[in-house]
Amino acid sequence: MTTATLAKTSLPCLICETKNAHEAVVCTSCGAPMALIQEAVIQDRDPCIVTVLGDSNVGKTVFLGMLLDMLSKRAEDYEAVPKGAYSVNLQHNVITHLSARQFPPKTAMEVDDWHWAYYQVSHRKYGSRIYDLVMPDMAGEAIAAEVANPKTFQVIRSLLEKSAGAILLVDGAMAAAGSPQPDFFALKLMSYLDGVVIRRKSERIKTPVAIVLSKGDHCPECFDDPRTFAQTNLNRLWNICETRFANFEVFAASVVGSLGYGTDGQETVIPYPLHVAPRGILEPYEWVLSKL
Amino acid sequence: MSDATITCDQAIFTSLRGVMGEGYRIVAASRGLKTDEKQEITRNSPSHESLCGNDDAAVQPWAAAFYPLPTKRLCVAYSCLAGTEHTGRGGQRVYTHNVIFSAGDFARFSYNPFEVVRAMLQSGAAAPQLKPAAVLSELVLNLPDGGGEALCLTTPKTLAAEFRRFVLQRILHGEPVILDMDAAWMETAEIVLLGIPSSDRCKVSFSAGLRFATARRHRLQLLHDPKGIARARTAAQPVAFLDPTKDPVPSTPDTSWNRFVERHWARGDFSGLARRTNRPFPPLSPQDRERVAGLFNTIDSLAALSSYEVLCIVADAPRTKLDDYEDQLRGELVVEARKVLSQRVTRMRWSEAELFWRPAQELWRRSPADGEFAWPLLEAVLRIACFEDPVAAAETALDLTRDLPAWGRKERIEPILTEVLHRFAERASGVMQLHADRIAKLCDAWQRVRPDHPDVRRAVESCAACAASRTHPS
Repeated sequence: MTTATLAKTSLPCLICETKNAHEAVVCTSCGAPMALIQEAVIQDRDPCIVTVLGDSNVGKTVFLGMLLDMLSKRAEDYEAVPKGAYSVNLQHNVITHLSARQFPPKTAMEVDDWHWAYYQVSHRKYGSRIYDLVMPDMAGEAIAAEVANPKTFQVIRSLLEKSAGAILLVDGAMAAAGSPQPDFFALKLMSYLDGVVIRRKSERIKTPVAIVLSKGDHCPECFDDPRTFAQTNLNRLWNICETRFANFEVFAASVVGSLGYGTDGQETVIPYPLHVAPRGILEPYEWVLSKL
Repeated sequence: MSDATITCDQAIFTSLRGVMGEGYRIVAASRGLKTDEKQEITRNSPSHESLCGNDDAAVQPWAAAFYPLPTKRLCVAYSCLAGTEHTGRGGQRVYTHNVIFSAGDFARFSYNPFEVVRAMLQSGAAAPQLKPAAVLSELVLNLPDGGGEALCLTTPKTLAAEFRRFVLQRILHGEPVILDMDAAWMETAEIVLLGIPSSDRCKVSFSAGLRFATARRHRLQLLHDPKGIARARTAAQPVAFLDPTKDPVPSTPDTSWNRFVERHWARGDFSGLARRTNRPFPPLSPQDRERVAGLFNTIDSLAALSSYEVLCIVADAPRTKLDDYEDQLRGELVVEARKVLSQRVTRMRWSEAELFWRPAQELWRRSPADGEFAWPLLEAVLRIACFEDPVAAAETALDLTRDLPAWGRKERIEPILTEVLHRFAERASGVMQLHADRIAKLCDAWQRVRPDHPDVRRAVESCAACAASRTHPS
């Protein structure tokens, strides 16, 4: 049996700043891992939080897992050192599943089940600046719930308030197919972000936001000119970004090269990633880093 | 189920693809649901892979949760699996049907969230609807039969008495507790809930069969944590994490309430426990709770006490006007004590019965209510005396002729006095030789209080005749 009360030596949560006992594994208030702040204390540097946002099933987990894996494999001469084994879980999970020609399981809404990655990132060629990056893999449903009814998931608001940059994933394939859903969701999200980050109404938000058109393998045309693609197919999103955000850029990305489809006994269509061909994964990240 | 019904709001939380989005969210709800209620339901509802698995593959996992909403209404949630997850990314879809009702209606469900779950299952409302209308109608549920006391539960063997007492104690103190068990989450949750007074139950949020989540801040969580993830996450937090199969036995203070609940648990008497804890108590402080449990304990211990002790308990019961629920309990104690004494007194010997003549008589004189209780006992004692020792009966009965209380009605007293005197008159001559002085004194005493009573006169005459025969033997 374990029972404990808050110890005298307490640490504030990196995300919501709630005081927690030194031995706590997760924050009692928001559920974020306390390893984040413990690591930050060791580094004696303020970490940069880069938040990956997007609707449910847009591909946040795969994008983030692939990005971290590429960084740890020194893609484009980046050096990424995971701070704690927990940071590797996400990329491990994603790569393992993709290797088995499966998409990773859905991320649960429960904060406890989110993967948090804390990496020390630097570029081996240019400059010596080291970024302590914290990137959580949040559930799209939790983001949607928070956007629809603020304060449903306080951790998301706290995260965005503390975020130095954001990567917003929008389903490029759905947008290309004419669905208004990705545009509306992104519009809501940017409007929410506007409300969270804004200091003065007249000021435009300086937080860099990389808009990533995910599932680009379904609509290769989005790679040609992502900005024009967004202006055309995600016009509402484009307009709010232009009006309210000083630093935004549009990118296209895809992780899988081709997909196969099957069905289970209940007629659920199951997509199978036949091979992995990451494209446009690093660019949004590089751009965000350049704006920090 | 009875014909009486309760109308509730409802909401379905699951993962569906719809025109407005996809993934886990409230996909359908009745119109009465408020925004902040939806927020709380979203926060508390289970999503992907959040049901605890069961070793028995044939048994489909399901879970239940109960929590108050910001509007003071209450929510009971029933979760189950409903096919594969629609994105095809593996795993099963978790489907949760939420029923929302007012705190007032909770009383009609016998303060038992599992009665709501049973009503949902019985009405078919819990069956997954994967193509629900966006706006649901209100849900009409039948009230439980037997006032929520017809329970068919068994105490899980894995939960030893010390553990369940510890859990109960923490919950009563408002401290969260997580119980790690590999099965029987619902039964355990219901059994623990029945040990909590009705007035406190709406504050005891719980989940049973759901995996641990920080956002679900329930006071009681029953789950299976085979990998120790939940235990690790709750480290250094003010929550007790308990695995009854591995953890050392915790110690619990010996309180009247614990003893009262444990007695029912140990006997498997859940209906009896429900009957007692389901009473519409006002909010009880720990002291109130101890007093109430003390009364229940006293009621249950009556059969094991000596008759004299039973009588003393009744005699010592406080006279001052207390809250209604305590008055009722005290009333029950008196009724039970009377039942016990009435059963016993008819089988008593005079040597035993005469011991509590005095306390019973004092009680009779104390108040009309006490008089009502004590009078049948006094009558019974006198009858025993009449049968075994009519002289003693006549001596004892003299007490009923002095300083009668206002409620000591003559029409009630006279018949038993007549019976006593009749037996005394019959027996006086027979025992005159042995107890001449005693009987003479007794006759004098009765002559002073009932000079015209025929049996008194008869006894006096017998006495005189006997005295004459002693003075002038034939």
